[in-house]
Amino acid sequence: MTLRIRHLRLRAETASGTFGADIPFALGLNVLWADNTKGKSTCLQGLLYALGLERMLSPRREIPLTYVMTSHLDDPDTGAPRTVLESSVSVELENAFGDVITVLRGVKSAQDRRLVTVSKGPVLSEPAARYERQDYFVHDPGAAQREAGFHRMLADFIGWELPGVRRFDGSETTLYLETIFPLLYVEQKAGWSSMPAAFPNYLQIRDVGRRAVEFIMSLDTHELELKRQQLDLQLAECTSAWTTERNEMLSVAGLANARLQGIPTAPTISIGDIETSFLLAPDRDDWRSLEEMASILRDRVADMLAAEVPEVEDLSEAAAVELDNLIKLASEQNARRNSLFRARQTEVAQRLSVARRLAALQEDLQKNLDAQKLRNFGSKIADTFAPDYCPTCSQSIQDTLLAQQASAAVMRVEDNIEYIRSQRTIFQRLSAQADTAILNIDRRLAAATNEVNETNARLRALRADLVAPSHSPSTAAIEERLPTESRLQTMEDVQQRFEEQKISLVSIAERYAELLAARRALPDDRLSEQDRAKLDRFTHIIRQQADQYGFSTFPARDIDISPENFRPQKEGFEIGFELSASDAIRLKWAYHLALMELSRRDATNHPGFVVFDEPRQQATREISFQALLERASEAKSHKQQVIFATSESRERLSGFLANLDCSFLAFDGYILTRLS
Amino acid sequence: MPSSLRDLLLDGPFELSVRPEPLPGDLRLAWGMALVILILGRSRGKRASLQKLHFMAHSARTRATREQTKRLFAGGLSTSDMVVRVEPWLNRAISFTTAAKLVPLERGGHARLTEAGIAAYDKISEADSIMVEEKEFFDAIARQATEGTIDKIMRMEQLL
Repeated sequence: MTLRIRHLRLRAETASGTFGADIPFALGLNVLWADNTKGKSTCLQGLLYALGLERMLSPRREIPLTYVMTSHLDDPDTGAPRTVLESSVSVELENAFGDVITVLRGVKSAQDRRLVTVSKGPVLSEPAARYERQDYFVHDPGAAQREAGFHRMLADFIGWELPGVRRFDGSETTLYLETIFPLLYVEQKAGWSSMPAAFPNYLQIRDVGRRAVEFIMSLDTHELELKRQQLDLQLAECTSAWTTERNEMLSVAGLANARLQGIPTAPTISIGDIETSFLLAPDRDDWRSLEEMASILRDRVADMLAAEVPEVEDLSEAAAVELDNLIKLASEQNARRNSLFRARQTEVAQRLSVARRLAALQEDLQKNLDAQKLRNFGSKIADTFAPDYCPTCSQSIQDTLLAQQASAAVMRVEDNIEYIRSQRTIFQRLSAQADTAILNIDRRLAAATNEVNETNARLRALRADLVAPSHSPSTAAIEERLPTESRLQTMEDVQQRFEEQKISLVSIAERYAELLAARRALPDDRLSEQDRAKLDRFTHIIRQQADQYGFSTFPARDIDISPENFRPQKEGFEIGFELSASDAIRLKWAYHLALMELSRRDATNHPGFVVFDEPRQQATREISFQALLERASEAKSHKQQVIFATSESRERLSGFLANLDCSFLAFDGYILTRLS
Repeated sequence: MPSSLRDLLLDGPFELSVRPEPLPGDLRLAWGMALVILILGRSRGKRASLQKLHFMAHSARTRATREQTKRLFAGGLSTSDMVVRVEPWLNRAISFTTAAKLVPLERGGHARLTEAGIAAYDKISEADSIMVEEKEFFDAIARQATEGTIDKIMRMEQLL
């Protein structure tokens, strides 16, 4: 598994001639020196661009090269701007078997920028010979998997078998090269500020950083992790099937204005609970099980069916009395319905105000959390940032922007956060209560509406009876029978469907229990013994370097590598903001070299090269690169390669490199110059 | 309550202590100072008028004001709909940053970041998990929120 960068070439054609740069890279340490803004980063990013990896820097489809390669450059003789007519980047690569390929990609060119031309030979160092050429494409869907995809070809060339990984949506894909290269190429901006590296997220790969490190270190954990992810996904599917089924049950129950009793919102593995669950239907001001309600109604329908339909004459007196009673009943029912409606409006208003309060609490919580973090990092931000004393008169002050004398004792920010969190819990509970209350009122409102409608229908029927000829059959008696029968029918249907749905819930619960058992059966430890040994050696190499480089934030022996996400940590806490800028650089350097050094003894997937583009000037001021470069120069004896671009003072740098076996590539002016 | 317990409670010694008061996060020293630094750091020349500081602080403070400001710049609101409050807490936050030698005040009511202030700004800016929404908001309105435009808003003149 090796990739060696042999030669990089940049070309820009203008009306006043060809401009370009040729940079040969040797085995071992290569130090690329030029002043600031003379084109170092352009060269190194040109390398990424040639390999179709520019989206590692940003998901946008833009060229990561400066205007010199894309639009115009200043003529060194006259100073006049010259439009770039055509430009390209090419790079010569060699693998473990000594095969050499040359990759050419147009920057400003008539050709499609997604095309990459690969020649099977050293076109840049031995241009005389003729080599077979083939076009590949980058960035199109499938560029990493399909035969004609350049990244597929490049992975084969390096000797990588890219592992399958999962996306956030659960689909499978291969680990893209854009997610592996941040471990091999530390770019100038985001590259230095994140550990282990700034991995692109737009590819939607789960735990992308972890997957990439596992791959580079070739850890066994990968298979296990895939299985775990698959189980998690199936469990999530189960939960969503459960929710769907439960929602279905709720809507079926709604047909009889009933509510669900005993079915939890998340899957349960207790099948007994599911079997004993039942439906509750509103019975005036009370709730009663749907089965019971149906049985009462069934008796009533049976009674009605047994009696013959009476004639109007027999009923007229009773009808008049009933009419009076019904009018009273109707007004009572309406009143009850109105009061339910008012209760609902109150609950809705309550829910709205709770939601508003929750949003405000959330916002305040975030600010307090920010304030806490800022305070904790205070001394890193500035010498006197958010101090406990007045910077002018040194009297103690309270942590508030209100007038100092006006405020009572101010709560500590930690307590304040707890305080807001507990308030938030209360309001969340209130909000859930309001939801349930509204749902129940809705059910009762629907039942009350039904009652009102039934009473009105009966009223109409009775009135019809009172004006009908005396021997016709009573409309009221028939009108009462029909809706009662249909209500009974609905209840029975709902009950039957509910029982059927319980059966499918049971089968979901059984599957859920199986999956949970399978998940438990997986070993707790993610890493195999071999993995652990590898990780220990990796940690050792990092500590060794930290010592050598003068890492000083805390003793180097306290640095650990998290087996969870492979980030450096100290006593179980991630190392981050508390590092001084120079220690962050030392640690970053140590981490990337350690990945490469690990491959000298262990079987890993590391291709044996690292590129460092020096961090921004400000951060490097107080660091001496001598020890770092010394360590990197060991690469040569292991047939590995380190490329470091810097604008450190040339004098200092020459001092550092005096006794080192390295290739020093110095450019006094712009790296891109006019070619004869 | 059993009388024995009540007597015990009433007769036993007790003391009263002042409960410290909770404080909205935006009134914390650190938050206010960081906001001032962020506003200046994202202003042209790392420098802004007090008027701009007040405007930006007011509009960045809550989600509602952030939305309102975005709508204003998008043309969905008129300048007279936007009531910018000049808050004493911001003056105090500026004073603290001045005392910390991060933000000197210049003549004519301008504030700018010192070198230490710029370093502090870089630190706050780089920390991904701090003041995320405020940073997003500043990025979203950066192009439009110029001194000239803000002056127009404060005078309730039409933007277009």
